[in-house]
Amino acid sequence: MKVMDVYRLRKSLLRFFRNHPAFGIGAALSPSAFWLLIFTLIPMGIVIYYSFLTRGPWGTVINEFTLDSYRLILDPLFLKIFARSVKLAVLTVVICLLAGYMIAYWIAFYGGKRKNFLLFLVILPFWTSYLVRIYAWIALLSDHGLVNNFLIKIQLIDEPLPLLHNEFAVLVGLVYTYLPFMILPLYASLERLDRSVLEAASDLGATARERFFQVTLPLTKGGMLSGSVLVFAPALGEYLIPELLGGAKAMMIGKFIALKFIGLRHWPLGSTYSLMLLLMTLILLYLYMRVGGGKEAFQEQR
Amino acid sequence: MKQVASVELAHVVKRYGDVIAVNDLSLVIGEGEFFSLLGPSGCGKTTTLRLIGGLETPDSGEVYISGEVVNDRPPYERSSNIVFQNYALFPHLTVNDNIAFGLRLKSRRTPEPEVKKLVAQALELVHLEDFGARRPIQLSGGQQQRVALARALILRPKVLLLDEPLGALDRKLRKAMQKELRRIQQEVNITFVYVTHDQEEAMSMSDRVAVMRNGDFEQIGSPQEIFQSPQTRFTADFMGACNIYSGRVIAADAGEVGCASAGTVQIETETGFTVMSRNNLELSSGAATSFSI
Repeated sequence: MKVMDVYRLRKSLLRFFRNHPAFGIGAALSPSAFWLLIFTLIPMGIVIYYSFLTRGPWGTVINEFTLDSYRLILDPLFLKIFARSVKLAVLTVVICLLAGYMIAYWIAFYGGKRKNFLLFLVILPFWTSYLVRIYAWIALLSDHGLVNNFLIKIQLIDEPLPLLHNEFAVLVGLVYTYLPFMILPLYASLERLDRSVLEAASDLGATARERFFQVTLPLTKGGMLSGSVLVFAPALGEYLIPELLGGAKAMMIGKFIALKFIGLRHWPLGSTYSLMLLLMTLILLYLYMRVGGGKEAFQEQR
Repeated sequence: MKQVASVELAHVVKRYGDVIAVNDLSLVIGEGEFFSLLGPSGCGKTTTLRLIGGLETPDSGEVYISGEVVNDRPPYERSSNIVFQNYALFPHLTVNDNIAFGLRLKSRRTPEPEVKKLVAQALELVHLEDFGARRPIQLSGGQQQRVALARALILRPKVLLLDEPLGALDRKLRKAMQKELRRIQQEVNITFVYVTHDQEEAMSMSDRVAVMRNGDFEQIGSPQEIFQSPQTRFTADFMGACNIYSGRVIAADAGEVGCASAGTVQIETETGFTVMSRNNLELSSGAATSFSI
């Protein structure tokens, strides 16, 4: 009797989980744990493992434990490039916050029936390849690009401005790429904002300005924090934008790490620097959350 | 009615697109009066309140507060304050800071010791002395409601506008809060304009009640007048009258106009029996009417 077998199996399984609750919880979490294992923990483990290995001749990796890579982490070049990356990432967050807040605010409060269409426009760039969009900026910013040609044509300048292959170009690329990641969480928190609370502020005597700084802004802190994290973390480790728009003078940490792997063929050292980047990103984000009152900001509003 | 008009509406109209929310309303509310706007949902009572408070602007007609036209004044320049239906407390501020919000704004610039004193008084008025440091989310509905009341009253408005403030409370708490509201109103002696759809609530608290329907007043009067002699079938029905009959006036004696002892009227119902009644609606013979017993 096959049906009876299945029934009996089910019954004994249930009894097993009832008697061993730890296994029960494990079983219930196993789908998420499975994906987490495959896409996060195993790759992470490989990177950590490699960081303790020895570099062999011709860039091979010898399976021999060493701390050599960790002795190189305070390389002044690494620290200098890391500092520049933090500076560019922070500037990106600040500019995205200012611009993103205005855009999100305008869509949430004045979007009317076109709200969904406007949000669609915000995410529209994701429909084309990121690589192509960064290349497009080269066409815009180069010495004979659209911007310089236009400025020369209206005789504002005689010589083309150095718009490409510097920190400015990288910053433009970063802001352009990550702005939607700021707009969406900001929009969500502005949209969720209870309109009657704003009416109450006006009714109690707050001018538009007072209302914005004392009510709207503090109540959308959660959106500002999550937007900042979504922009900061990938901007800090960005590889492609500084590679294409930055050139040698505006190297960022992602490029530096890539050079260790590909240029120097030193996989253990590249892995170590990757871990350093991860660790420092975590520390910076932790500090940011603490200063920004993170715990409270992530609590449900109302 | 008292002599000074605290709030006055003169032929106020408000439309939303094609829908007329408030249709040519005129009304005078006296100083220190507890005035209720009563009606089913969608009758325009909340819109009327928002017109007084400045959250809506009338399409035509005038709104006066203490004799001044306030049509073009934004809410923050009006001497009225609103207690919202969902309380609309600031979730990021403590009870103390919620109540002090208005006092600390630039337009009032209250010195901090004064703010502390007034907040303490306001908390005492609503019996929430020990809750100043809490956040709104840590309070029950009734407590939040009282914070909203204190936050508005601390500014000493000339008119306090209450939009179904007890709607979200359970029956028992609502009863207690009705008494409490009446006590507070008499203590601070501020004009209260109170919006509700609960006729019992309007009857038990108000000096006068306006029954509203489709953006218009059906009847304005004291609770007794409205309850005992409703002038329209709608009012009677809304007040909970059961035995409503339709009929036709077969004989009417108008009596002397303006005289308390009006004439009599004889009505024949559709079902064929005849009743006699006081003719305080100045009915004439042949008019269709309805009445309740």
